Amino acid sequence: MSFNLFVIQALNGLQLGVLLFLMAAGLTLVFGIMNFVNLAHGSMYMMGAFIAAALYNYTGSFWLAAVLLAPIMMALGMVLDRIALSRLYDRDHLDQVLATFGLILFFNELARMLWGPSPVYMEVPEALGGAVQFFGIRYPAYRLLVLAAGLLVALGCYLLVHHTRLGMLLRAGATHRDMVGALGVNIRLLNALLFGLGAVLAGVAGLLAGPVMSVQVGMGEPILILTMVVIVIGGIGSIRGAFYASLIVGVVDTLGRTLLPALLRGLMERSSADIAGPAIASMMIYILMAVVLALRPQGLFPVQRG
Amino acid sequence: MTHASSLHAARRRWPLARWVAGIVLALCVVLPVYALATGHAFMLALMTRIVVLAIAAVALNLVLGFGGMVSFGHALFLGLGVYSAAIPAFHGLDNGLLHLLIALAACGLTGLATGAVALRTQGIAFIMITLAFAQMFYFVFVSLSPYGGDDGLRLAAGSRLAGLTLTQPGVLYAVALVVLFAALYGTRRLVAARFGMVLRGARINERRMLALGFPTFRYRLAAYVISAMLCGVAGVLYANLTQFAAPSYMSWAMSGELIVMVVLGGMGSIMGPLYGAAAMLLTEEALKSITDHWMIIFGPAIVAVAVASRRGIAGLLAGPAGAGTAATAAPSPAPPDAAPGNDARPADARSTAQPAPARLEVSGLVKRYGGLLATDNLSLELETGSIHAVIGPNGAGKSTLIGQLSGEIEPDAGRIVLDGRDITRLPVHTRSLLGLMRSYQITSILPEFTVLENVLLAVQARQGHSFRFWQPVAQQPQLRDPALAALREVGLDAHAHTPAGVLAHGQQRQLELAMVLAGEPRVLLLDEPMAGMSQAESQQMTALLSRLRKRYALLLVEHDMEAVFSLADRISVLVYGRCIASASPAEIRRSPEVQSAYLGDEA
Amino acid sequence: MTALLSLDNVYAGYGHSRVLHGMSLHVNAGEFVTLLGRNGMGKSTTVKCMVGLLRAQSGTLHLDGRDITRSASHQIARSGIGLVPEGRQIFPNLSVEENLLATARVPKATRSPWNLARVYELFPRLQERRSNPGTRLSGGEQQMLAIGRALMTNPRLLILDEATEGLAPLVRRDIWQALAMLKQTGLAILCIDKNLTPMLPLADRHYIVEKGRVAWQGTSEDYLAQQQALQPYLGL
Repeated sequence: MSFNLFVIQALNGLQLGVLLFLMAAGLTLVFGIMNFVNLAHGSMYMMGAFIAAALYNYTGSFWLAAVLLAPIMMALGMVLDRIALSRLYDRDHLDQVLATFGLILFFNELARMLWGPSPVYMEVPEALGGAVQFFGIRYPAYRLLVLAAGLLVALGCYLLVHHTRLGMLLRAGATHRDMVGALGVNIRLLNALLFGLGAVLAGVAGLLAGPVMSVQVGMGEPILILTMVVIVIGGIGSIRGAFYASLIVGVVDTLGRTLLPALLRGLMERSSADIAGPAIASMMIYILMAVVLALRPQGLFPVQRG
Repeated sequence: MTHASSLHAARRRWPLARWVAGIVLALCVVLPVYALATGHAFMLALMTRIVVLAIAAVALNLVLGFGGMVSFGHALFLGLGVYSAAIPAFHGLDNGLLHLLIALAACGLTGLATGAVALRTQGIAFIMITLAFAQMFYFVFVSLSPYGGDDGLRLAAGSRLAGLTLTQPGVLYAVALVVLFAALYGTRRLVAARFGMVLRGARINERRMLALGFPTFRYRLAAYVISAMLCGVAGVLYANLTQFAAPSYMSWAMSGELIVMVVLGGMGSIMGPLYGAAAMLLTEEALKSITDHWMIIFGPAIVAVAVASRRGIAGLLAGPAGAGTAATAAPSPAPPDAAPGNDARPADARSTAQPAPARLEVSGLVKRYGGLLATDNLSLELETGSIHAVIGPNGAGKSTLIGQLSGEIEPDAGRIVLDGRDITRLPVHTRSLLGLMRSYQITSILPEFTVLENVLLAVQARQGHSFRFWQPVAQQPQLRDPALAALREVGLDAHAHTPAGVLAHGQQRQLELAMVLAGEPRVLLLDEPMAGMSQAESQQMTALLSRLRKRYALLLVEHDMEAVFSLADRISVLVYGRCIASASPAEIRRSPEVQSAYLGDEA
Repeated sequence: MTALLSLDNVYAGYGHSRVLHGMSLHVNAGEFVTLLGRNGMGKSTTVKCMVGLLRAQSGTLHLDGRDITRSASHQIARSGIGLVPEGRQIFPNLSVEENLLATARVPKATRSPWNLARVYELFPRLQERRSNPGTRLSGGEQQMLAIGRALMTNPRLLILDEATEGLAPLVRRDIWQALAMLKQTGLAILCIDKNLTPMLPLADRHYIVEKGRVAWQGTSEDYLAQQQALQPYLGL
């Protein structure tokens, strides 16, 4: 495979990784701090994409859509927390799984009712429609934006968690939830904020993914499951883990899908390779997860429990 | 007998749950006959769907309801079963037995492989991993374009079994119903047998089960594999019902629906999966007839089920606070014991002989936590016939000491020798089998089981493996007799059939002790047995411990000084992890260093 | 005068075990009160009820006249209770300074509020280690940090559960000196401990707890007068 192709696929992998990080950051905090299984996170991604597409197609401006999306997702997340989920924080994981599963069904049907069963088209914004050249490689400008935006958000998350009051409370709450409450912090509000934040991140991921992947009903769940793999590999509750793991997963998955079939074609006859290639490529991430679990069940960068 | 009283007698013999179960099972036989006779193909198909998915739900119930493992990937096995029929059929092989064997093999191996990885984790991680594995196989089948890929594969030929083809509606229903009945009955026997008790116990209190000596991982994995295989059988039947195979049968949505069925029907109940499957599928049909967008109602309905109480349909039928899970899950409890107990009655001659004398020697034990020295070069001795008490201020390292002796904590240095054998590196359950056991400061029993069932488990742990699936434990004298003997020794035999969770605190601590005694220990580590007891309860426990002294070597960690001084033959005082004095009670009482360790230094 | 904090006939426990059997006590504004007794007698359970981490099964708790029996723990904390818990419970993922700042609060109408500077003045060792992670401190420093953290919420009543447990004698002395200084500022203090003697000069009143209820209460003079008789409650 040519060097050009390799670099392009690697960049694509990083781009996927960055999207996964946006999803994983919110989800891992919810898992780790609130000990809450939130399967509806994928629905936030989907709703973010649909709402962004609607705003974009209505206003004609990608940037306006982006700016308006954040508070909408925040509100959506906090309302969801208030109405349905806050009762479930101290409950069994099974109850949480069941409830958020019900929410997935609800949101998928809602999206179908509001926007129809066919994919919605979201154009790449004009300013970024072209390609960028560097080192003899042409790469779509929009995808570079996604990469940049994702890294920016990662930086923002880092700053939030390590340099703000809220971040201190999140880190403290991860290990000593009751104590934080006993010192005067309203844990329920903190949880609602955390949930809303997760929704914003997922929504932004949906916005960014919209022009490059199709915006359709049920788009959230495959990403959600991939996100879960990232979190398991990285370590539940660890943002650092989520960052590294999402990049690893993104790159392994993308490169695997391109490299492996080519590799197999070299090793076996074409017809078998054409079947085995994609099949095994799609398994790679999960095999990676299984290997990590076998060696380090707590993940690669587990949270220190002190 | 008057009509009213005979009705009352009937109600006592036949509680509501039994009536409903009987009616539902009867309907399962009668309705399809009616449907066949009158040509209601749709009704028959719907009932078949209910029965086949109920089989899958029964499979999931074993793992989820009884085993407490939230598997969000069980549709994987359903899907594998479906393809186990479709792929051979595609190649012209329509032998039903072959389809079944392939399904069993495929699901068994996949269950073994995925279970072995997934069961190393718990909680949220386990849920995610089972979901991920199912998704993985989903993608694999999507990419298998020769077999239809995402579009799916038509069933080229129905499975042929004993000259019949399963794609014939009547035949399929009959076979499915037989399989369902077998699965229901099999579950009923399994959960009351040794295997089932271990599985259920592991869900209720895994830590305690490990301490009793059960390697819970194996049992969970076995249950997972059995469940996978049964689900695969359901898959073969499902393929013949829909005459189609698609990766979507393995999707997260299908897994979720199976979970809804199990929870709705009532987790950990025998009939629950059937109720749940019927309720869910009938509701789906009803909603579909109202609107195309039925999911928008169905979704929130599931949320409501989750937020509401989780006893499900079977739970509601069992009545308020259904008398112990023993009644809802296992076959009828054994008849009550003939001899009533009395808390104050001294232990009568036991059926079991005096345990072999034991000697435990601890030397130079050290344990560090970061900068903190929790155990500082500690040494002590225990032998049968005496009680060695360990006292000291909080944080002195008493719990850490017990943890190291029981095997839950690994010391950084030092040796622990039991009857001349070095056990310092042995795991908890091995020490347990050698006769070294502990009780817990915080009551750690299995509250959903009866008092007797709790102790039966302790006895069971000592009698080889528990991979026995058929005989109810309550009817095995080699388990019952030692268990009842232990209960008599602590004075709880009158409460043998009371759910343990209902007992008063002091009685629960007695049960704790009975469970330890049933394991035939020789060395007992007692971690604050009087914790949380009233004066009267403490006195009873003191009397009990005094009786036990003759048969066992006892280490007693306690704060109740009255008890310590009346019971102990020797007292060791622990401060900052170090033993500052180890002598007879009288000497300890007189020691000025001990006085100051407790009252603190002068300012 | 209404007590700042009062418990009336509180029964509480965990699951089936009942630990408090009719606990009644009170702390007035500006008072230094101790709660003594051997382990397992219910001292920590009493603290948990006071700060809302455990709900009383019966009986009532009042803070400043307001019924807090059913209040959430963060509301109770905001009403003026600062908790220094058993085992310190320092936040391990935060530095020393972050531990102090994370939950800090200045309620309205606080005359001279606690801030970082004042806390560092009281505990200079903390300033030296301000960027260290919370777990890299010695036991005594962690205790000081836990006290400082509670002070930063500007409470009216400071509750210390086993504040000197597992600490070396010299460090204990530092802690008691700090508590004496805090008392001067008018802060009400409730100190749970097993070491009575060093607190005799500090405390206004003492409670001795036995099997979940108050077995004796009195001033330091009262204690000294009845010392012999009270020995069984505290020691061997």
